[in-house]
Amino acid sequence: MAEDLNWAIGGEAGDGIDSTGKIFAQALSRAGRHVFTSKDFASRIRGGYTAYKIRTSVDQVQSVVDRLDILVALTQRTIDENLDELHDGSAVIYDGERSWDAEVPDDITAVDVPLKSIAEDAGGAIMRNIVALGAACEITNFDVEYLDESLEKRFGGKGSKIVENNKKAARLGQEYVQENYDFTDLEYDLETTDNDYVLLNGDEAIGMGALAAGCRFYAGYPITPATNVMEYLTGRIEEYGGHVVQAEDELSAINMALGGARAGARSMTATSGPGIDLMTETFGLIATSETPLVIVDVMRSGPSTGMPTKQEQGDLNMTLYGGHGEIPRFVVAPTTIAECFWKTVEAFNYAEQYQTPVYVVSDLALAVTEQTFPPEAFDMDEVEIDRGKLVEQDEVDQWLDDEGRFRAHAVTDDGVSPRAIPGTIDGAHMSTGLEHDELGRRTEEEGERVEQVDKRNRKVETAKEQEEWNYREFGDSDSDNLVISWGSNEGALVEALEYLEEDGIDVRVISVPYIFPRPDLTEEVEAADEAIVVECNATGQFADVIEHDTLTRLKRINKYTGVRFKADELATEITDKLTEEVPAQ
Amino acid sequence: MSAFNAIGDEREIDREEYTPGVEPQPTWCPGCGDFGVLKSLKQALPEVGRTPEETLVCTGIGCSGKLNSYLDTYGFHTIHGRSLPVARAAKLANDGLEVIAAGGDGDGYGIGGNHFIHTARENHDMTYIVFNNEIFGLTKGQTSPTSPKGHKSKTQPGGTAKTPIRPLSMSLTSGATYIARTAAVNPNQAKEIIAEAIEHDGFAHVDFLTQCPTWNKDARQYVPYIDVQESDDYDFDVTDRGEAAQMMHETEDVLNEGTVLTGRYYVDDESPSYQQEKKDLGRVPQEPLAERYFDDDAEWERSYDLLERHT
Ligand SMILES: Cc1ncc(C[n+]2csc(CCOP(=O)(O)OP(=O)(O)O)c2C)c(N)n1
Ligand code: SF4
Ligand SMILES: [Mg+2]
Repeated sequence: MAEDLNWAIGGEAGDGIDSTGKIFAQALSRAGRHVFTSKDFASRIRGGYTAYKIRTSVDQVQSVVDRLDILVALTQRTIDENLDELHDGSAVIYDGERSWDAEVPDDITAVDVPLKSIAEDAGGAIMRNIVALGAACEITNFDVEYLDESLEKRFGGKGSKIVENNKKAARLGQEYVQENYDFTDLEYDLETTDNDYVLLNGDEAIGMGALAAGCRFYAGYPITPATNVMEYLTGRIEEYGGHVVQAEDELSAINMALGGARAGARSMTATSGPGIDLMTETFGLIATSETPLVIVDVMRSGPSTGMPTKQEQGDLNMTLYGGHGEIPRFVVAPTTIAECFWKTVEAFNYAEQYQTPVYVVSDLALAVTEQTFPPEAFDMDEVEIDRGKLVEQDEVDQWLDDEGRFRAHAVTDDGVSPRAIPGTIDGAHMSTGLEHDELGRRTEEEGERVEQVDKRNRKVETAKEQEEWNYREFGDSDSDNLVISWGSNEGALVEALEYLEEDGIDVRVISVPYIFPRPDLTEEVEAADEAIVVECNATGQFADVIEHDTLTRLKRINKYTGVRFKADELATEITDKLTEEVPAQ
Repeated sequence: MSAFNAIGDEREIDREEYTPGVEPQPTWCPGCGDFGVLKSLKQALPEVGRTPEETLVCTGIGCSGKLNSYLDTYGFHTIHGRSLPVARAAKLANDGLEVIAAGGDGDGYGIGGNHFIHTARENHDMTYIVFNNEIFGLTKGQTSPTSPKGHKSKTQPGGTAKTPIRPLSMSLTSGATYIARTAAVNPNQAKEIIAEAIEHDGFAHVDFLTQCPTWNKDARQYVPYIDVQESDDYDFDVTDRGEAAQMMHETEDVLNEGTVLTGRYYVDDESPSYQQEKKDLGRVPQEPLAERYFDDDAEWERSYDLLERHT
């Protein structure tokens, strides 16, 4: 793998850290370099350390590492927080004119740039972060012109004067370093390529997937880290003939999405843990009324308000089992940002083909990370829309009973009934959360009850047979060492394989994007000498499920600090686990 | 091809079309006020020219929620308190539909109260009928948010200490643009009010007094009733917020003393509905959101544009 560079800017929340980081990430992407970003942040808007980190390489990068090469530090705390990651080849850019006395460890190159004064020369102190970007360009031998397009994109709306000032600020920063420093011992040289990449985060990929899949109605209530799905769709869905609403709460949001779906629009809602709790109330109605609906849960650390800006995969049981009674449902969990797009597209098709709720379970690590992909990773020609047994006007007759009534919950071989949208002639029927007969009328008659429960569950059986519930595989497929993961850990695991290989350890990685229905891993587990399940929670919710499926005790690697797995850290943990005693059977 | 052929279909409508073949006879208790709502809907819908197939009735949970079983339209019996978000979204997705939400006083003013406030505030173009029997009927007679002060029930054997919610006033402050109260015992007025509410462009709220002879004998039958428009004792302008507010307040006060005032309380034909406002802004397309799926020319490739933003 080509050499990577790890860059970060950190300061107080409210210092514009995020937008500055994004400008640099975009510039790198435009220069044909891959990027993978991450954020350290506190949930307060102002006051509290926050950082935007970029890992960049000419090869695809898909995880974070414990190494920082260039750090733009707007506060002393930024340096202190990252001491472990800085090394003797690192450079720290800071503003020595500011009141704090920067304490940069001796072995690290301290690059004192009067960011504020230079920004003022360019037209305003507000541009000090951009001056720092210019300085970083000089240290990394990265042409400052690559920043121009990103600056135009970011500030274009504010007028050409602002854009020009920012370009100037970047150049002044670059020149200052060029004139005052001579880095003989720093050898950073950012290679560029002619490749075109798209840069996006997991929430945006979900929003984009929804639009491509024909989602035309979205109802939501803001919550970190799912809000970006809604913000992505707002202002964009209208161009495709759709609408977004902000509901008064999540109870309303999911019921609105349900209403939109009833009226025939492909509909979706997205939330995080606290919102999923409220929405669970409606899961059963979605299933019994057999209405197609996509519900996105972008997981964050819980329980309760937990750590709202921290990573966790704690909602598996909630989405898999949440709700009273027995609710047929599908649960898919994208493993990468590109997969956030594809799994959302799939979710819309499953929802309509099987007329069930479908959960797309993503997580904070996917949601806040911006990553580059070749545009082919989102090939719109591959997007297919299957509306299942939605009946058009000329098909209604086939589904009427002897008295001309529409059989909305007709008992069929595959369990899927016809669906008539309000406004269809002869399709009028009622649906209810009460147990009902084929016509949708409430019943407590034993035979009909059993028939309807079986019919709804049969849809899942049909799906199990008709669809491919496969997994993604990496590493050595013949290895005796098996590592199983779900959700966003895939990237770190794939990179961990390189570290393990260096140590002569071969591993087979199975990354599972389907939680229910899911692939049966019995053979894979039996074929392995050691099997470990990796996940970001304390109790091993996915490990429990796989143990249950395979009737085998598995080893577990759990992380619940609120921080995602890093590749090097995972490699060490896997190595340790492989030699640990197997838990009692 | 569209799926919505029933919409705008100008055909003759037979009143009996709304009576389902199965279970034509409702299972409400004899003398229940809920029959009155059913009857007024069966009369008003053909009168305003909306067929069963272009009408969607979303109900909550309660005795009142059984309405769908006895009214043959597209029906969605949702969950306790949630009929409003479902209904208003269906209307947003396809405003060619006639969308009516209905449910009990517990359902709409208690567990679903937040949705009531916000649906009214946003002035969604739909009708909301609250079957107000001042009691939880289905669960056998517990206190509801509209039960009068002192009302005794199994959950409040000493009588409720608190004054009831003011449904009309709450509706007005929240932003509803058509507000009326009628009673099951006054079928002619009820039919007229329901028809007006359906035809109103905006959020029309009808507080429908439905006696529950089984669990709320105190409320008697809501007789004698007075129509505030017909009576010479009352004179106010339904388009004047201030006067309407005063009249509502009085109506709510005297109900607990046994005087049943009914009629139209507030009518605002000026304020645009949510969907009208959004359409004017270009935020909601003119055709139903689901319509384009049936358009053979729908260009899904347009999604290619989506990537441009991320380069
Ligand atoms: C979440 C939830 N809580 C409680 C219930 C039980 N429940 C059913 S109807 C009802 C109250 C009914 O009163 P109201 O809404 O006034 O309707 P009515 O029966 O009087 O028409 C209650 C508490 C329920 N179905 N769901
Ligand atoms: S319990 Fe009351 S509200 Fe329910 S059906 Fe009987 S009379 Fe009507
Ligand atoms: Mg009631």
